[in-house]
Amino acid sequence: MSEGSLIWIILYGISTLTFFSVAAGITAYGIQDLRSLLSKANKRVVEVKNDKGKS
Amino acid sequence: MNFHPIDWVILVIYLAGTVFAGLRARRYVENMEGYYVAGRKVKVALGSATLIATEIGVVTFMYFGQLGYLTGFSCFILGLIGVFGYMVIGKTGFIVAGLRRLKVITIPEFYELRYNKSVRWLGGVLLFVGGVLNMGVFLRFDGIFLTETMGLGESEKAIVMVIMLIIVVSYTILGGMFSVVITDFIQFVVLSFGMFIATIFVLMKVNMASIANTVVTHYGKAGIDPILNPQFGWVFIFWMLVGSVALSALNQPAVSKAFASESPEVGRKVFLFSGFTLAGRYMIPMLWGAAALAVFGPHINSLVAMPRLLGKLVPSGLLGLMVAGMLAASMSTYSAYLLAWSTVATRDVISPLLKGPMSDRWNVTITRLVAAAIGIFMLVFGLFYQLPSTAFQYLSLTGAMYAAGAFACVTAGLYWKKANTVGAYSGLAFGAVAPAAFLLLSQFKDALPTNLFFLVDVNVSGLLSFILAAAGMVIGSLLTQKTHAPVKLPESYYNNEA
Repeated sequence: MSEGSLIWIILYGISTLTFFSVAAGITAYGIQDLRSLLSKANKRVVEVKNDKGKS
Repeated sequence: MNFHPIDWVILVIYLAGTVFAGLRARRYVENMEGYYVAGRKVKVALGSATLIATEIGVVTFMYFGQLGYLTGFSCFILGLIGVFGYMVIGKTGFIVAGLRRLKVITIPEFYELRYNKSVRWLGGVLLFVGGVLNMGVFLRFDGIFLTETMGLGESEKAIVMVIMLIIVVSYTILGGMFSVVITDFIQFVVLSFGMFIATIFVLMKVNMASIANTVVTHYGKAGIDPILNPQFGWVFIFWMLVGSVALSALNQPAVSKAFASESPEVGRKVFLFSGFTLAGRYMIPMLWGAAALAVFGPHINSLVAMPRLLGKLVPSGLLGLMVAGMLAASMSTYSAYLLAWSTVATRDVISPLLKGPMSDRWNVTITRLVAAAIGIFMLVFGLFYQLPSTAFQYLSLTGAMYAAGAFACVTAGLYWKKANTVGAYSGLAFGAVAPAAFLLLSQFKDALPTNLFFLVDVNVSGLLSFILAAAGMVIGSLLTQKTHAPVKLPESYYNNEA
């Protein structure tokens, strides 16, 4: 295997590992973010409905 | 057929789940900002997931796989260049933080704030045309990928394309950015898993040394050194270095994720975290393509090589999961692109032509209609258009059609006090000339005189678009400072408000 190929393969290995590690982290924290986004949106939907009910 | 009943069951469950989640998000849309930018409440991890999911689609797997098959390891340079682009934005907030601070929904809205309404309209038209042409080929690649991996015939390709389109258009039209964010997150998780499965099987069944030897045997040093590779070279690398920053910061579907973030700082971080994954998301499918070269040799259709390899290597059961992952990748890309381009068409092209302001309700209704029309265009274009270059270069060039002019106008508009309306017109028009000339002239390549051949060199054309756009902005502005005084941005920009 040539030196050039080896360098690309090492870079590929680092990049692939980084991708899957960051993806795992984003998945874990993303669930919390999604919950927070939907709870805020739910709250807003309830508020809008209540406002409409009053008027 | 590679697909077995268990694969179909997995795929149908996944599709049903996504459509359900996407349609359910409709209940959260209570106003225009909710529809277009999810109420600007998205945080870092969710924003990063949705940005990555938008930027990974079957189309990216296809063109990176094709590049890996045709150029070996030398295309890996694109992964490093891409990281450079995202890191510039992620570390400094270049362009993205400024636009988020101004609370714009589309990039052409910035043109009206900094230049005038007509520049916004012209910028909107270029952004829409370039964006829709860019997106036009997505569906076709998906059809090829799915028929090859699932082992379906050529005749089923159109059916696969229609089904995918109906599913994505339906939830995007109804739920807007809320649907896009929620389904993108699900799709991000599934696509990461799909990529993981595919990578494991490729690495288990195709020896890395044999991939390296095949690349050197078929392409010699050009398979390793991007400067020596006839597909790339210095012109291509310079084009990509500039283009990676411009397309990352001004690709409306991607940057709308930063606009949906809860603050300019969150918008910057979304780019930073997405940037960490960029080299991987480029190189992973590139290696699948190089592995296809090792398995099938250099004489099969370069577009079908990689999906055929995955269909052959991944066993039943896991193949269903992998295809669900790939479909997830595509659906998230489609939904974000459909929403982005239909938003631009409504707010920046159609709305300025009307006499009075459009109500929120009409804004959303017209956006939905335009999204449906784009879907039909994608189907027709995808079935009949023949690509004039590699898929990657076609997509970069149609991207340059709007990004080159937009890059000049937005960068100068945010960071150069002398940028004015004439400079903006010149930048937008000059930036679109070279890519448009390439797309037209490449259809009549044989009839061109030899001294005009550079116009049909995709790399020269791409780089030229950025140089011309910058020159147009600088020269146009400097020559007309007295007749067209530059307009200042609103105070909110300088006050650093979120």
